[in-house]
Amino acid sequence: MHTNWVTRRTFCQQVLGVIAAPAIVPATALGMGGRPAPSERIVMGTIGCGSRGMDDMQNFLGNPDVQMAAICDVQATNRKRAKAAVDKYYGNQDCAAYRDLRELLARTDIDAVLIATGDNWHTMATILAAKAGKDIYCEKPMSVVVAEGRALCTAVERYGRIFQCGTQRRTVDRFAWAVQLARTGKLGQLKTLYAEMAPAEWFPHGHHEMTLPPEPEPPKDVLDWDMWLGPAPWRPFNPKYVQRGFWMAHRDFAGGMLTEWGSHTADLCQWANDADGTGPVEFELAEGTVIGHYANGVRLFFEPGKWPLHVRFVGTEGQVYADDDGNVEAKPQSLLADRRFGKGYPQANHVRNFLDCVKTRQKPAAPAEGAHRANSACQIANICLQLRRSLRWDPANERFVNDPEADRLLSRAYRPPWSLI
Amino acid sequence: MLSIAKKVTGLLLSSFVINLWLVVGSTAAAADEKLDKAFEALKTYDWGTDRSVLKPIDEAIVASHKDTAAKKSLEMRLVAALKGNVSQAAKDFICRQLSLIGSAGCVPAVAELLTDEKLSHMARYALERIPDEEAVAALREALPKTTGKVKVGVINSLGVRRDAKSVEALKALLADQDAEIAAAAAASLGAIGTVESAKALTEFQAKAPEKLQLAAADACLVCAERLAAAGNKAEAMALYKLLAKSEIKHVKLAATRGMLALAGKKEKSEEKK
Repeated sequence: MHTNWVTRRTFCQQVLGVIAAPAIVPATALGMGGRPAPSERIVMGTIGCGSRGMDDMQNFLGNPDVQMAAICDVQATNRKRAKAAVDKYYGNQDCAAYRDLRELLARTDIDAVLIATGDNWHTMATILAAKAGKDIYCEKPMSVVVAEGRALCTAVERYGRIFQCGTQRRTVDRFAWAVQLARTGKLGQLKTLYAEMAPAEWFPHGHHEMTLPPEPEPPKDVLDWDMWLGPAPWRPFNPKYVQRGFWMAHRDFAGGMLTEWGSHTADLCQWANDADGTGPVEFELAEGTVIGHYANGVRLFFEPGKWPLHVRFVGTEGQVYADDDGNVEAKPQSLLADRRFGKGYPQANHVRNFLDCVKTRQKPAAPAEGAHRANSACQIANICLQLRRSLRWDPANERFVNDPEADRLLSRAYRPPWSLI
Repeated sequence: MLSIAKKVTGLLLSSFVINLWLVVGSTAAAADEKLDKAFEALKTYDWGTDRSVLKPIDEAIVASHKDTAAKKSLEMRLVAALKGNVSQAAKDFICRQLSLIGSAGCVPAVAELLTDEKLSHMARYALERIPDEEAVAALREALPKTTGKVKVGVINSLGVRRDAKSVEALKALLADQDAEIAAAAAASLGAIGTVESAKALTEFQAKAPEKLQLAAADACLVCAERLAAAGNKAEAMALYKLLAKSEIKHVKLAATRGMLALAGKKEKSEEKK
C-alpha cells in the first residue's frame, strides 16, 4: 500500500488529537459532503501550471478523494493563477505556491504529483519525484532524448512508484476499442500502422536549434529563467523561448512534430502491435517520412499530420480508423456494428485510472515503459531525419546497430546541478 | 562496323564520365565554397544571428558519415574556430558539432573550456558523447581545478561515463562542505557501481548529514543495481540490507524490492500487473 499514507494518517490523528477543531471548518474537510475524510485523500501537488497544467489540475480537483495541497511554477503569473484556482475550489487560502519544485517535493505530506511543465523538464521532475517517494502523473512526451526516458523508467521502477503518462487516448473508448481490434486478431494479421505527426504548419522552422537575441532577464520572482531552462544548455533570456509554439519545435526543449503527436499516435500503434516493451528494429528514411519496421513484419508509418489527430491500423482482413473528432471507421463495417463513440479526448478517465492505481498499486493504463517505447520510436525517427539516413535499432539494448555516431544522439549532458544519474 | 560502334560507344562513355566528373567536381566545389562561408560566418556568429548561415556545417557533418578524412578535416576546422576569438554562442555551436563527430583530436581544445563557468557545460556536452578515453581523462583532470556548480557538472559527467579511475577522488568529495558537490559525488559513485564505490557509499550512508540522506540512499540503490548487473550479488545484497533499515519508507520499500529482485522474486503487488 501507499507508504506515505500511514505517515499522514498518523499525523492527522495526532494533530486532531491535540488541536481543538477551529470554529469554522468546511464540512468537506471533515469528510462530509460526499468527500472522503482527509486521511483517506490523496494529497497532491501540481508542478507546471501553464494552460495544460491548469486543464489537468481541474480534472484532478474534480475527484473528491484528491486534496491539491500545493502548486509550483517558475512563472509568477502561472503560480498566482493556479493557487487562486485551487483556493477558490476549496474555499480557503491553503494552497501553497512554490517556484522551485524541490521545495514542493520535500513535503512529506504530499503523496503524488501532477507534472505538466515544458517537455524539457518532464524527465528530471519525474525522477526527482520518484526519489522523493511520490507517485507521478506526467504529461507527454515524457522525455526529449532516449536516455532520459530510460532513466525515468528505471527510477520509477526502482522506487516502486505509480507512473501514468498523460497519453490519455489510452483511456478514450474509441481508441482503446480500435487497439483491441488489432490486438485480438479481428483485423487478421496486422500489417501496417499509421501514426500521425503534429501538423507541419505548427512548426514553420522544423525541428531547430535557433537562438534569439538577448533581452533583459526578468527578476526570479517574475520568471526564474535558470529554472525554466533546467537541464538544457544556457542561453540569454528572450521571452519568445517561453512561448509554447517556439520551445516545442526546439531541439533543446522538445522533440518537435514527431513527439508532439507521436507520443499519442505512435503510443496507440505500439499498443496495437503489443509492442509496449519494445520497438521497431529498423527505421527507414522515406520520402517526407520515416517508416519503422518491427521484427514481426509490421510497419509503422509516421504520417504528416492534420487535424483531427488520428490513427489507422491495417491488417490482412480489415482495418480501423479513429480520430479526435469522434469518427470511427472500420472495414468490414460489421466490426463496428452499431457502436457509438463520443468526441474529443478527455483526460478524466485517465486521471481517475491513475488515482485508483495510487490506491491499489496496480499498473496504470499508460505506464512508464510503454510511454517511453512509443516516445523513443519518435525520437529515433527524429535522429533519422537529422542524420538523413535509415538506421537499424536494437530495442533490447536501446542502441543503434553498429552505429556509434547515431548512438551519440541518444543522450545529452545535463546542465548542473541537474543530472540523470 | 563493330569496331566503329565500339569506338563511338567508347567516346560517348568517356564523354559521360568526363561530364559526370565535371558536375560532381563543380557541385563539390560549390559545397566547399558554402562551407568556407559558413566557417567565416562563425567568426561573427552570436545569439540571435540567423542560424541558417551555419547550415553548411550541419550538412557537411551529416555528409561526413563513413568519410573519415572529411570528418577529421571538419573536426580540425571546428577546433581552430574554437581556439579563435569567437562568441559564447559560436563556442556553444562548435561544442554541439564536436559532440557529433569529435574524437581524441579535439579533446585538448574542448577540455580548456571545462573550467570556464560559462562554457563548462557545453564542453561536457561534447566530451560526454566522445567515446575516446581521452575525453574521460580530460574530465578527470578538470575535477580538482573546478569549484561550485562547474565541479558538480564535471562530477556528473564522470558518473555518466562510469569512470572507475575517479572513485578515490569522488570518495574524497563526499565530505565536501558544498552539499551539491557531496550529493553529486555520491550519485556518480553509485553510477560507477564498483565494489570500491560501494564501500565508499556504505561509509557515507552511515554518517551522511540529514540533508544528504536521500542522496546517499539513492546512490546506494543505484550502486546495488550496477553491482547486481555485473554479477556482484553479495555486495549488492549488502547495500540493500543496509538500506532496508532506513527510516525513509520509500527507500526501505526500494531496498526490499531490490532484495526481492536479486532473489528472483517479485512483490505481491507486482504480480497483479
